[in-house]
Amino acid sequence: MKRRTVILIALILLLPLIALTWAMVQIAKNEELLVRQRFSEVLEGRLQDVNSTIASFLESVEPDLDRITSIDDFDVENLRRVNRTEPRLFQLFVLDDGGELLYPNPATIASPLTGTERRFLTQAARLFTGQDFKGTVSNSENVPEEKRNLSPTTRWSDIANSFPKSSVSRKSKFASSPANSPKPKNSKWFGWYWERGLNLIYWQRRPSGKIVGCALERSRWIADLIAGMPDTDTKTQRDYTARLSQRFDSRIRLVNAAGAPVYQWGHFQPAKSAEPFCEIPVVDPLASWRLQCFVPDDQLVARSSSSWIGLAAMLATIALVLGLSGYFLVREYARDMRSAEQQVSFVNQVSHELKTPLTNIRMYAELLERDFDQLETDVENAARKRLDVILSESQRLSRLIGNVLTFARHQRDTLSLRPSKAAPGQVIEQIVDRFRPSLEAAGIAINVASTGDETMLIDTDILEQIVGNLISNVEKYAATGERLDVDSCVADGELTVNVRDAGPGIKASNQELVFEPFRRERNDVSSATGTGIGLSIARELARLHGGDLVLKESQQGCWFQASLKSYKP
Amino acid sequence: MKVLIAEDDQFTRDGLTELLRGEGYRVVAVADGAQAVAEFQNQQPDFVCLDVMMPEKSGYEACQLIRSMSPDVPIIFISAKSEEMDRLVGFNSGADDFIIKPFSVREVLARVRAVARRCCKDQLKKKLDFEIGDLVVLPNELRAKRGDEVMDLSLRDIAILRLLVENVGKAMDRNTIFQHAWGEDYILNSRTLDQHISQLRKRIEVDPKQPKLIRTVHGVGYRYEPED
Repeated sequence: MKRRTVILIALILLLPLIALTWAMVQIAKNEELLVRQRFSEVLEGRLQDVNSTIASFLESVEPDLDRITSIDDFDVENLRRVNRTEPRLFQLFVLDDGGELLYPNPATIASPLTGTERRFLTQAARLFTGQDFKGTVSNSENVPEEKRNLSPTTRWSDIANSFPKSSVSRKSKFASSPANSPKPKNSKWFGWYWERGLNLIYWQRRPSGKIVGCALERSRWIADLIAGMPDTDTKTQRDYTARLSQRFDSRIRLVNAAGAPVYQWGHFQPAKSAEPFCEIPVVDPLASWRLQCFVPDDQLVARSSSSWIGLAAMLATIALVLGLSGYFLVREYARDMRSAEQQVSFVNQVSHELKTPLTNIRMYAELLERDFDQLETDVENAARKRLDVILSESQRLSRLIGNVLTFARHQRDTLSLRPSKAAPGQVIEQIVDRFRPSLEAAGIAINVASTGDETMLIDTDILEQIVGNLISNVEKYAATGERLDVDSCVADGELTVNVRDAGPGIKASNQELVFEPFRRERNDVSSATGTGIGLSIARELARLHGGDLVLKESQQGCWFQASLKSYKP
Repeated sequence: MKVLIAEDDQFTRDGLTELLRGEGYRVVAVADGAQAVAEFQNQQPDFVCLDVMMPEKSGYEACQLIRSMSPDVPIIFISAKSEEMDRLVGFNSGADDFIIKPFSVREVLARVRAVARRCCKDQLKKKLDFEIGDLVVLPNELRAKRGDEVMDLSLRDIAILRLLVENVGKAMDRNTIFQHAWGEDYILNSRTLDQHISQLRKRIEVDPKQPKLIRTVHGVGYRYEPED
C-alpha cells in the first residue's frame, strides 16, 4: 500500500478521534467544574446549617441577657451583685446617654474597683474612649428595621480583612464589626478583641437613656456554643456527620480571625497546610470567625475520576470502533488493490500470451512475404511450412482468446452450452493433431486412444477448450516428461477423458489451488508463461456440461480426468 | 558477426534465427536464460538478443550475468513485456535496447544494425570504406551511399560487394561467394545465392534489370567490372 494512502487513512481515522478527544476532555472539564460547583454548594449548605446553629445559640441567650441587663437601679453594689450572681458574665457596665462610662469607673464610684472590674477596664478602656462601640450603638439605633435584617455574611470579607492574623498577640486590639455593619433584628451584640481573642458584649438602652451592657465570660460562651455543635468523634457525631455529608467524609472547622481552629468535627483529618474546599463567615457578632469545610482530595478525584473513567471508556470504545473500521477499511482497500493488481497482472499475462503468437504470425508472415519476393520456383514446401506456423499460431491465439472470453463469460454467469451430435474420440484426435507439431518439437511422444466411436450430444467447443487447456499445460509445464497420453471413452452417455503426462507433477499442497483462477505453481519471470486460468476454466466448463475435472493420484506427472455428460434437452 | 539469441518460444527463436542469418550474422539460438549464459561463455558472441520471460533464468538475470562478464557486448531485449517498468528493469539490467513484441522484421533489423553500429564501432572500423562503381560502401555504418541516396546493407551484402571489389574484373564462382558470405558451415545453395544477389541488386543497382555493379557470368557466378 502506498505511504500516502496509509497517511490519508490514518488521518481520516485519527483526526475525528483527536477532535472527539478534545471535545470530550472539554466536556469532562466542564463536568468537573460543575461537579465541584455543586459539591461546593452542598458543602456551603452544610456550613450555613452550622451558622444557623450558631445564630440559634445567640438568639437563645438573648432573652437571659436582656433580663440581666434590664437594670434601672444603678447602685454599684446592686450591679456588683448581679455580676457575681451571673456566672456567664465577665463584667457588667453602664454608660450614660452620652456614652460616658458610669460603671465600672473609679471616677464615679466611691468604693475601690474589684479585680474583675480593673481587668475589664484595662482591657476595654479603648472600647469606651474610642468611637467603635459608640458608633455601633448609634448606628444600631438608627438603622431601619429592614436593613438590620441583612445577612452579616455580606460584609464578612471586609470584617475579616480588618483583623490582622496575629491579633491574638496584640493587646486590646479592638476589631469589631464596622460601624455600619448590619445587625440581626433586636441583636445588640458587639464583639471586640483583646488578649485572648474575640469577646462578646451584649447591651441595651434603658428607658433612662443609659446603656447597660455586659461582657460575656469568654470561655463560658464558647463552651456553650460548642455544646450545641456536633461532637468531635462520637457515634452521634458520626451519625450527624453522615447525615450532613450524606455520602462523603469531611471536616468542618470553626476558626477564629487568626485562622486558629476553635472547634472542629468530622472523620476526615486534613493536612496542616490543606486549604478548605469552601468557607463562609460566621454570623454577627462572630463575623470575624469563619466556618471551613475540608474534604479529602480523593473524594473529589473519585467523583471527577468517575466521569474521566467514563470518558476514557467512551474514547477507548470509539478508538476501538475507529481502529476496527480502519482495519477493515485497510483490509478492504488492500483486497481491492490485490484484486486490481491481479486483474492488471491478468491482463498483462494475457497480453503477453497474445503477443507471442502474434509476434510469430507477423514475423513469419513477413518472412513469407520476403520469400515470395524472391519466389521463382521450388519454394512451395518452405512456404507451406511457414503458412502452417501461421495457422498453428492463429489457433493458439484463438484458444487463448477463447479462454479469456470464457472466463469473462463465467464471471458474468453467461456461459451456456451449444451441443451438437459428435463423436468425442474424433474431436479429441483433431485437437491432439493441432498440438502435434509443437509437442513433437518439444520432444513429447503422444499416445492417443479412444474406446469406440459413439456419438453423443456434446458442445465440441467446450470439449476442445478443456482438452486443449490440458494439453497446453503439458506442453508448458511437463515437456521434460517427454510423454503425453490422451485416452477417452463414452459409457452410459458420459464421456471420460484422461490426460496424463510424465512431468514434474503438482505438489500435494497445490493440487486444489491449481483449479483456482490466477493460481500457478510459480508466478515469476523464470516460470513458463501462462495466465493461470486454464484449469479453472476447464473445470467450470466440465461442470457446466454436467461433469467435472479432477486431478487423480498418479505415480508420475499429472493425471487429469475430465468427465462430460451427454446433453439432455 | 556472431549473435546469441535466447528465446523460449521455438517459433520465435527459429524466425529470429532465420532473419539474422539472412542478414549475414552467425546465430547461436538457445531456449532459456541459463543456456544463454552458458553459450555466451562458450561462443563469445558479438551480440545478444534476450527474451525476458524464460525458464531457468529470466532474461533480466541472464542480462546481468552476461553484462558482468562482458561490459561492452550489445544486448537487446525482445519481449512481450511492454510496461514502462519492464523496460526500465531491462535497461537497469544492462540492456542497450528493448524491442517489444509483436515486432516487424524491418524494425528488428534496423534496431540490430543501430545497436551494432553504436556498440561495435571499434570492431567495424577495422573495415575501411570502399567504392564499387558510383556506390560508396560504408561497412562501419552497414550502409551504402550514392550521392544523397542512402541504403541499408547487411553484413552479407557487404561481404559479397567486398569480395567482388577485391577481385575486380574476375568472375567469382558461386561456391567462393557463398563460402565467403555465408561461411563454411553452410552447404552451397545456388538458389539462395541467386535470390540474395537479386535482392541486393534491387537495392544498389540503378536499374536492377540492367545491372552495372554485379554482373552475371553465366555458368560461373558474378563479377564486378568498372565501366570505362
